Amino acid sequence: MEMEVEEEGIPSYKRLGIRNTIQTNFGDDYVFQIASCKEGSSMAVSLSTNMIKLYSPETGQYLGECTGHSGTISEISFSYPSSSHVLCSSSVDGTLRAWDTRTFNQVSLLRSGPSQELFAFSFGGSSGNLLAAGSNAQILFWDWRIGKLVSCLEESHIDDVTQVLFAPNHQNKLISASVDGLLCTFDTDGQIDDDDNLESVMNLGTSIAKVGFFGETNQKLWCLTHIETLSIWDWELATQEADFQDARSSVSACWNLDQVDYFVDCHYSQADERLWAIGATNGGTLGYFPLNSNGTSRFFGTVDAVLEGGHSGVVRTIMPSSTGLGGSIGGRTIFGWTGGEDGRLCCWLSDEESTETNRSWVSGSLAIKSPKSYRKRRHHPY
Amino acid sequence: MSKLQSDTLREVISKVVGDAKRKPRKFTETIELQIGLKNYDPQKDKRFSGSVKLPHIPRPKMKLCMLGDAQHVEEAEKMGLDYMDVEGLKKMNKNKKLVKKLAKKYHAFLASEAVIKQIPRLLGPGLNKAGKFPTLVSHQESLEAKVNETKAIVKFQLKKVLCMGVAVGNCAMEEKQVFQNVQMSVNFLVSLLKKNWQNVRCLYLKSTMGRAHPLF
Repeated sequence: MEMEVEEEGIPSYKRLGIRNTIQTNFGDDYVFQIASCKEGSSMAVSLSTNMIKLYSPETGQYLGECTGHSGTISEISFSYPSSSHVLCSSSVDGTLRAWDTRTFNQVSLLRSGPSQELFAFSFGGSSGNLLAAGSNAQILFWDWRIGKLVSCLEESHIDDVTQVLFAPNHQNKLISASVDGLLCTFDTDGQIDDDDNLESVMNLGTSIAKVGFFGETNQKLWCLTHIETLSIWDWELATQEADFQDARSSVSACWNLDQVDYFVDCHYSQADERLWAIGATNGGTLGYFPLNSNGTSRFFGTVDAVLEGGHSGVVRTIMPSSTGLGGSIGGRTIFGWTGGEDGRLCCWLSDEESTETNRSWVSGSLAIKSPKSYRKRRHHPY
Repeated sequence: MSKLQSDTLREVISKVVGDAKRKPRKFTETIELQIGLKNYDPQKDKRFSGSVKLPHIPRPKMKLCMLGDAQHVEEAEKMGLDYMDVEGLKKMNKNKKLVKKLAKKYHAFLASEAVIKQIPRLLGPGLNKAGKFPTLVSHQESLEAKVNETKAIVKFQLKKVLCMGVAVGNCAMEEKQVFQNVQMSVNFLVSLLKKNWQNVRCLYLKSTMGRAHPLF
């Protein structure tokens, strides 16, 4: 944490200040994911203790916890369609649960078949009543309004389905990603089955970890694999647009810090039409690497933001505060929260001029430096 | 010890190949790299699965089929590579038995851009289910190079137990080639582990019928 030393010379990137770090537990437990509700009044954090803890994103105050899962929690999200206070979670214990984040009580439970694990879920469908979940070589569909399993696709993937996503602009289209290396697109209208509803298949050839939509009409997908490669696809045309087989080396050349060991996520700014790959080191330093394009080819540009000194292990999740919350403390805006295998949550701040920064965040430069006045406070939730 | 010793590796490869020569089998034995991990928890650490592209082809007998457009079909014919055109695929008419039969006949498939998009419509999920959905070949790249590249890719996946095997060569290969394949795959796999060599408990090399020799 010798951040002052770095002040001399002209840094080619922006450093962010840490406002707050929270130790979520006192064992060896990891933070898997952070999800924030739309109004920004609370954020949920899934831990490797099979527990979800809730905090205030503005103050970092501990609010309560949701317990019930008996296996690793694979995904959490505030995407429940009818209420913004409901948090949903999926787990390898084979259940999908919904929690009321005001009372911390479980309000609903869906169970998959025996010995079926769940790795991801998504709400959608053209009438908005579908809940899709990725399981062992299967995709399950429930009508969440009545809690009934309506369909199961079992021929399109031969290994764990690590992600399912309904397309934002086409609520009837579902994208699935799997350890078998395939990305599939399904039309979920009518009776859903493998033979008639499989629309296209994109072969990445290697185990897929995470995918996300981007582009003007969300027609593109970024895909991160378990061997740390990054590829860009147009899912409507089912064509590959870029493939970075050695993405870690490419981005490592874009900053003067340690070799990037893995990618945590990607971030897309609609206003800028810009995508960043968020790479990190095993020591816990993060960098936002912009993916530039010169018309015909895509390449990584110099790091736009560096988040250093917060984590001491692998970073697993980033929750940007661009939507909804974006609270400001003492004139500085919150850039976002990160969580990792050190069990820590870190809150990152951008520059003093809150309104300015808010705009500059949207207009390209991710956020602005000055770690000088960072304070470190610890909250002990127990 | 923080990396694979070249001398040890050379010695172990000669032992593995030597053993296989002493007791010949009716087939070419595969050489497998076995890895045991430590300080790794499959419940909470990131998945350890994917593929490695090796410098030398470990499975030369791998049978490929080109699902090609006119230009690729012509190229495949010249190379002596099995192929099928869109008309042939149309005849399958999503018939599950026929698609299954096709999938069984080959180890992997390649497809031209114009063809790959039609596969779900023409064949249904059959190739997905067989784990053999084609790899795309464009007209900008050489078909021969793509065939060799496809043959040189091996998959690995850690499941619930902390050990796994990767096929890295065969006993008919030159020892130097096996050496390069092992070195490349070990270094790549270690680079994916968060504590690198501190996550490696043991490494073994063995041929299909031979005994496992410790490497690390």
